[in-house]
Amino acid sequence: MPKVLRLSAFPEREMELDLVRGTLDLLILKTLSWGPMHGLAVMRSIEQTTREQLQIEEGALYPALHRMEDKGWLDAEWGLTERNRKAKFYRVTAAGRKHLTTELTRWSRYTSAVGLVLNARSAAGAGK
Amino acid sequence: MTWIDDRWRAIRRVFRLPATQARLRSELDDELRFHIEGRIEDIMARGGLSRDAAEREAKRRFGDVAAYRAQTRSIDDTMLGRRRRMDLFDAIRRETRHAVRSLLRTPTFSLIVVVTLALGLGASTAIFTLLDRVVLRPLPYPNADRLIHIGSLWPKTFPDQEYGISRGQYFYFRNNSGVLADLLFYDEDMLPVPGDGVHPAERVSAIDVSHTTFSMLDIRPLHGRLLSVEDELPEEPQVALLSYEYWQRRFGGDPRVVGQQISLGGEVRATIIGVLSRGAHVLDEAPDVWLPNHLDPNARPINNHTHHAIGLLKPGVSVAAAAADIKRLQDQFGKDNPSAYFKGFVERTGFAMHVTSLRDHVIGSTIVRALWLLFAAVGLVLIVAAANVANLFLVRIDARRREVAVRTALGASRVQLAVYFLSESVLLALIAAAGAILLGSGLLRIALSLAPQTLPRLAEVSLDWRSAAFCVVMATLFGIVFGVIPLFSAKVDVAMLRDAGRGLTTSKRRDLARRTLVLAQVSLAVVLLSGAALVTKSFTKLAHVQPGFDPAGVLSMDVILPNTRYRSFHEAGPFWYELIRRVEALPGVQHAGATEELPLADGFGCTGILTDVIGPDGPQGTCMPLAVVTPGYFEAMGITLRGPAPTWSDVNAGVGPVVVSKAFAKRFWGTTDPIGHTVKPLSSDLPPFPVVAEAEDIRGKSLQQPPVEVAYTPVIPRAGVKYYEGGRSMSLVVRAPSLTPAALVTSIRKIMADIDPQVPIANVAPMELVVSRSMAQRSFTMLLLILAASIALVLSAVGIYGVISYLVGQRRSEIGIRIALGAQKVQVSRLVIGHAMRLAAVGVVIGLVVALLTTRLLGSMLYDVSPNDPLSLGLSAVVLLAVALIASVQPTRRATRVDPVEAMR
Repeated sequence: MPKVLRLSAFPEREMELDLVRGTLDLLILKTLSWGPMHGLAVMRSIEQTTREQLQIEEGALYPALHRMEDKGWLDAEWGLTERNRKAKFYRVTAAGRKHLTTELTRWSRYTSAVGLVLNARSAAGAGK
Repeated sequence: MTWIDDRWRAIRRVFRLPATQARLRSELDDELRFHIEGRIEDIMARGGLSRDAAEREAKRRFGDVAAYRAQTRSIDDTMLGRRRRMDLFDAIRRETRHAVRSLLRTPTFSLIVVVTLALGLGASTAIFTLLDRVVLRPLPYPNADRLIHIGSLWPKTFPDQEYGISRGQYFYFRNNSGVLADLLFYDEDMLPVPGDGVHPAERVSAIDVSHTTFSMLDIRPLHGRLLSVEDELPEEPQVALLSYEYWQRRFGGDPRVVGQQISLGGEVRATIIGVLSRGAHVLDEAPDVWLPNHLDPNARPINNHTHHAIGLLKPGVSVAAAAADIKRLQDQFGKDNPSAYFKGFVERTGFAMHVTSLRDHVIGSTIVRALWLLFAAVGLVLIVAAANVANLFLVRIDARRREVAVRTALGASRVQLAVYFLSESVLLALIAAAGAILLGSGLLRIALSLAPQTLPRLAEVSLDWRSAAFCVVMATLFGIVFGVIPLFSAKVDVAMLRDAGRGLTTSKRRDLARRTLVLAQVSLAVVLLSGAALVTKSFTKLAHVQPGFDPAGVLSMDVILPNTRYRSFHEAGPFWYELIRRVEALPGVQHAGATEELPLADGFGCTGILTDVIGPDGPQGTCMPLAVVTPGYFEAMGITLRGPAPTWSDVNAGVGPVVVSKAFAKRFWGTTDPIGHTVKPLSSDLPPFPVVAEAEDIRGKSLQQPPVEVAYTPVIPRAGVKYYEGGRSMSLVVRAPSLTPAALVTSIRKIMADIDPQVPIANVAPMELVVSRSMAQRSFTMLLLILAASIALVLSAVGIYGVISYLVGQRRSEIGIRIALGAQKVQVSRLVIGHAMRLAAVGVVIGLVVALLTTRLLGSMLYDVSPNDPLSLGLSAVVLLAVALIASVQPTRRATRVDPVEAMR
């Protein structure tokens, strides 16, 4: 079994919280950008996409969903699933899409910058 | 992405309920349950696990369910709160926009409502501010509710007057009372502070206080120290405190002033021991210099009740208990100190201690009554204004019955209609409130400029948040009332829509309401007019009271001689002689003289005297006003004498010629001629002074009080005698009708600088101003009452006009038929005017009845006028009927021009 990253809204260290929140928000927004889904569907989608390499504490999804609803990034409405069950569906709003775009740019800049350092062959500027 | 939106719309259609906290919570529970149930099914579908094991696994993956639920709930709560606030804000904005649009469609209506309400509210707010400052607020002292005023009454000698307490009583009460936690004692004073090269000689206000004053009133020093018990012992003050304001004015705020000497006039010098913090005051006294009162506990108690005393009660003691305790102590004091009062003193004067709460003492004046009256008056104006506005709203309802019917037909609920009407009326009321606050502060400024100086606690009155809140709350209440009227009065009749507007008849009930409002207006206006008429009549009567002297062309000013260089009459006398001789020599000056007691300027206390009338227990005497005057005084004031006026040669001869007023003569000698009789001060062993002339009576204390019973004594009494202090603080009066006050004062200053540059003059005022100032409180009340009555009158006229023109509009077809059947203009006019006059007459009758019952509340505001004075009440009735007639002229003219063909179509 491969080592998995654990994401929980109650992290062991305080400093991880912002990182966790930011990451989780991003994952949810990206997933919902494919279309309206209920919370469990979001969870399943992330699992399948990451091939279960990212283990999210599932409960953390709900504070995140509701917070983003409050911020106006998501819209929520009760509806019926394909199996005719009542569920709460979320949808990305225009504001949410805009937020997703900026966050994606920031994320890729961040990872590529970190990647540059981690993949460097030698220390730049050393010896000058 | 249209499929997403399509699907979304499909989902959206399922449920839509308004959010509540309970609903959000149950939805969250549903959402979490759905998740975990779904998960269990996922896990079981993957195979292998039992339902229990699958459930355990699902929960493990979920994490702490309770914690996540709590976290999400709190997010939901925040969201709900914010959404509600936004919804409310949106609703207000939406309703305001609707209201503004609807009000702009009827600009005349909106304008009249705003102006009428603003008028009534503005006047009420201005008077409320005065009342609030002067009467309603507690005194600005710690434990203000435990402070009492202790004074004395002498009902048999001076009815309606309150005097103070003596030094002996101060110590006795302070040491022996079981109810007093502390006692303070003070006198106002005036000091002649000589010039110092930079600042001219000036008269500064001073106060002689007991050391207890500072702790009791929480007055703290900014620099230096306060007074101690030891500072009270010397007869002349040796230390002084400066007020912050005087310290800034005279010493430029230099802290090194502490320790320096200050001259208190003549050779008396005191060391400045401290500067008080800003705004130090004792009731209405905010003196420049604070000195220790001369308080020697071993001094023999004497009958000198001229000092103010304020006591601090122990916690939980009532004013009544304190009064009983002070009475008991006073009885004991008299027994312990038999020498303090002469034999039969208490029996003859009715002397008794008088204890009141300090608050009642401060606000117990007639001006407070006047303020309440004015507040009631502006309250009536406000009601009259509101009646007009209510009437306008009633008319508007009729105009809008169709609109309401349409809205109801389209499904508007009663609540929605209520919000719709309320938003309009409250918006109008709030706009009126804004106008009223502006108007009120303007009116307040006018009222303050008219207000008499005797009005207590008036420093820095301005329209503050309390007044603004009063105005806004009143406005909102009226707004709500006006908004609710349609809901009660407009029975929505959807059927009228079918009749295409022909159902526009008004209900009898609304007609009745409209008439009642006008009746109320008219009757209240009559009450206000009657009050104003009574007060005005009193004022005119008072203005015609002969003061007994001729104020025209007379200038008065105060002159105080320092008590070190002018220790006795023999030192002061020559000063006055020289001053008056040289002032009389000025071109344009007819006469000049000086008096200790200037009429109508808060003077005329009393001094014990004996006359040559022998009563049942020896020579008859009592405490009467004595006024030291110089020769020339009677001529300068225009007081006529029967008998020779004392001259300087009489005075200098030291034979002590005395002049008595007619009232004084009548009291002691009845109808016999007082000339040749004698008067002498009670406390001296002198031979009596001969009465040489009788003076015309003067109004000394106020125009409405009876003439003072005064004996005028000469500035130099019998030779070689020093029996009482006096002649140092006098008012100079100069009759010079051809000179301007400024020119005269300049000349007098030159003379004074020549005789003694250290002597200041102050309070320069023409005698006519002194007289009018004594009536300031009356003119203040009168002007404001007239103003209130005028506003009410105009508003009633508008009300009558409104109702009559409305009725003419209503009865157009009826009038048209009458005209078609041959009615003449006169008959039509009689119909309309008759209606208006009947309405006004009923209102006037009700108003007169109310006035008869209430004008007695004017009490002491009236002078020599009965509260039911038929002339004043009758005049008010006539004025109102005339106004009603004028107000119905235009509608009548309109009625006579009705075209019968048009009206009957």
